[in-house]
Amino acid sequence: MRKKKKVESVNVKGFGKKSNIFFNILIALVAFSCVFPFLFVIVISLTSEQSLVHNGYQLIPQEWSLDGYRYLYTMKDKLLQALFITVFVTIFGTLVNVTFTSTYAYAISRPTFKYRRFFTLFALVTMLFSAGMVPSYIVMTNMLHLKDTIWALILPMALSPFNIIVMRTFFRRSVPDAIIESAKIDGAGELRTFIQIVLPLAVPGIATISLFAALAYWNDWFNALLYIQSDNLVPLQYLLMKIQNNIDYMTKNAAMSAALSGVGGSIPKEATRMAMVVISTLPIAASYPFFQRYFVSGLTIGGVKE
Amino acid sequence: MNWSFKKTVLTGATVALCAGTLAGCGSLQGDKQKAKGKDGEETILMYKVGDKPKSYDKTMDYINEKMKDELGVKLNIQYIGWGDFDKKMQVITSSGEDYDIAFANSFASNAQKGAYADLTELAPKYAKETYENLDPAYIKGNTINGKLYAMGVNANVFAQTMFTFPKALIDKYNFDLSTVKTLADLEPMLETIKEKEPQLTTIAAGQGLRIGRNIDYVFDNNFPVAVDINGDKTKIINPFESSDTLKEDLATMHKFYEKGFVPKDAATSNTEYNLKDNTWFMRLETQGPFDYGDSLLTQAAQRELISVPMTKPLKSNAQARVANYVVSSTSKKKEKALEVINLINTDPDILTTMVYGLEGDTWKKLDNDRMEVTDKYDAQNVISGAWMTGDNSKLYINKNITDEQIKERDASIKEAEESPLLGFNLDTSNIKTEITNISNVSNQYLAGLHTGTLDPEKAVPEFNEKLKKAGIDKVIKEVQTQYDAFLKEKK
Repeated sequence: MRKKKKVESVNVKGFGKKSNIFFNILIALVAFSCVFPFLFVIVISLTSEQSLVHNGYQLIPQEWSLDGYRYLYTMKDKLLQALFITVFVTIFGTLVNVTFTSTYAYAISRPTFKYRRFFTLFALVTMLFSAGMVPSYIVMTNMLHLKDTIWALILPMALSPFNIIVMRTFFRRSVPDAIIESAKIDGAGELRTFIQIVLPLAVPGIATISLFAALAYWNDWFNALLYIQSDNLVPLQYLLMKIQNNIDYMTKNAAMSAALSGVGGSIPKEATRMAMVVISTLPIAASYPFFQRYFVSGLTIGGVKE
Repeated sequence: MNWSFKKTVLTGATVALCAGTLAGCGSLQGDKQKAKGKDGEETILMYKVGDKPKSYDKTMDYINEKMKDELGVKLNIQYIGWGDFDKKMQVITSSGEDYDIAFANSFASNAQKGAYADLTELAPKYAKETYENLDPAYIKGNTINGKLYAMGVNANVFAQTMFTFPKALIDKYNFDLSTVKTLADLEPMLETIKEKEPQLTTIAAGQGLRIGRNIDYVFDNNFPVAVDINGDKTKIINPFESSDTLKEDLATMHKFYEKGFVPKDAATSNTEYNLKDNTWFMRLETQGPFDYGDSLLTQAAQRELISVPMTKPLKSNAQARVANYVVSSTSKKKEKALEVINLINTDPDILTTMVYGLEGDTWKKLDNDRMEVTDKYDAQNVISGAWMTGDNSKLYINKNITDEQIKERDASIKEAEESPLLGFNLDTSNIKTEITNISNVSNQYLAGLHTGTLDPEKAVPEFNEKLKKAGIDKVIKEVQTQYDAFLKEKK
């Protein structure tokens, strides 16, 4: 025992025992508060509708039931189509976003590029000022005619200035100029240098911005609200949003049930809604561990902006 | 090594997911509807609130066939969900996008902004029959600064708030509904139900519940500036200060809340009490002449419901604008658009098809302009409900409705009183800040007061105090000035 203590005290980088316990508890609490709502949602999705109406939300419901998921199964066509749109937009969008972002960032990270200052500012300005919703709507619909197409979900987020800055910093710090020079001496062109030399060195950064982009695409519903008309182009998050908005509308107009019976009937029950939340969250939560390793290192490296 | 392993797993998973979903279904094309006027046909674009019905293509094919014969154009209806409609139409109007007809939203403010075409001269010309058939209340209610901006849907021109109960329960306990005049009269019934049927929510109340009798609000019942219909009709009041009936009802509601008739979380809850479900005993519903008593409610609930009035029938601005169609000021086919509106409002066949679906499938035509709904009829799978489609007096009438009910309907429309506020439109330019402040204060209190969660003894004075600080006196004064001018002109 005594010997052990001595060994521990050598560990100068660690915490003392007491503070270690304290921080562990603290972090555990924080982690629990993050996970708890999601667990609660899962529990609600497994509660029977009757017990929801009478007892409200309960941590351990009076009556369990799979009805929420059973109902979801009946609307599987709509759900699968929405899931397909979301997955397609997320994967394709992330590819597009990462390609554009990393190439742009690489260009402005190279000191040999003459206009790098201009293009850095060019990206930065859009981060600070934006034209607003109506002008972008006009550009999307009247000039580009992208209303009600899948592109309306992908292109508005194809380039993100924040990610550009992160990547630019990342390239600067983790890819030494000497390596790029040596590649040049060996006869590689710009594109080859980028793909074969720089990219493999930048994997943590790429993984980080991929995660940012994928999350943004997965959670996006606002573009769908603005631009999507057709039912078969509705992504999953917007489908949820629509249901929520319909519920709000119904509560505001509680005394119009007869007139609004068409709307009321189309709203899934509480448990079903929670089941939808579960379904829309799980895939992205499940993909997180794949990114996480790079994410940690990527975030710290990219965090310093010069 | 580890890295490449994970990468393989990752790409493998993505590919699998992609392929799976691709194989399962998958179409990236929007509806063919958006290719408007592709084959050189003229199309009228209409924005409508609601969800697109599954039978849209079939039904619209039929309607468009007829429409093409009559007017030479096709109608393309684009749906926007109930909850998103305001937001989306706002963007569409502010971007100046080209559309022809829309179900109006925030009618008064959009009309004042010039988003809609002035129909004062066009309507009597291109939608003559519809215009003439409309109850005068609709013309008055949809006129702003002397210009007509919308065609109301001739339906429930008056409305009254009702207490609604499932008939089975009323019969079971032998309640006498004829004694019910006010909220307070309900107490013995509610008490019995609370005791004998504890699994039911006694009063189906959520944050949207609004009580109060015979008060017509200048904007809506979320903004406490109104006229007392039973009192001095020329005076603008804050009902929370000056209406005794409202105070009385709020006190009753609080008593009910204390007794447990109202769900504990009513002030914040948005729980749905479906008409169909046997989960509630009493609720508030709005009814009008074309509901034919409780027929429509009963049809929607698929079980018998019974209602007694809480308020007097009133033809108000709100009713005139509950469903009205506007023509966009950006439309290049304003005349044609009006002709389309006219056709929907005058052709019983098109109208009934829009409201009930295809003839022979979801309904059957009988003699004497009567019809019968088949069991295939589904309220979710129609172009839109009757109240928001077209002239309800032109619809084929359900065979369940007796001639007597029709006579009653017409008599009740004649008898119903016009709200003194009908046709009054407030110019808010001088009191914009105050209006925002008052709305914020109201949001804090209204749900709590109306559901009985807050004790009116304490909360109402507090509420009034805050309203004063938010500038309600200035608003009432301004509204009164404009209202006096309006009344003068009316005479």
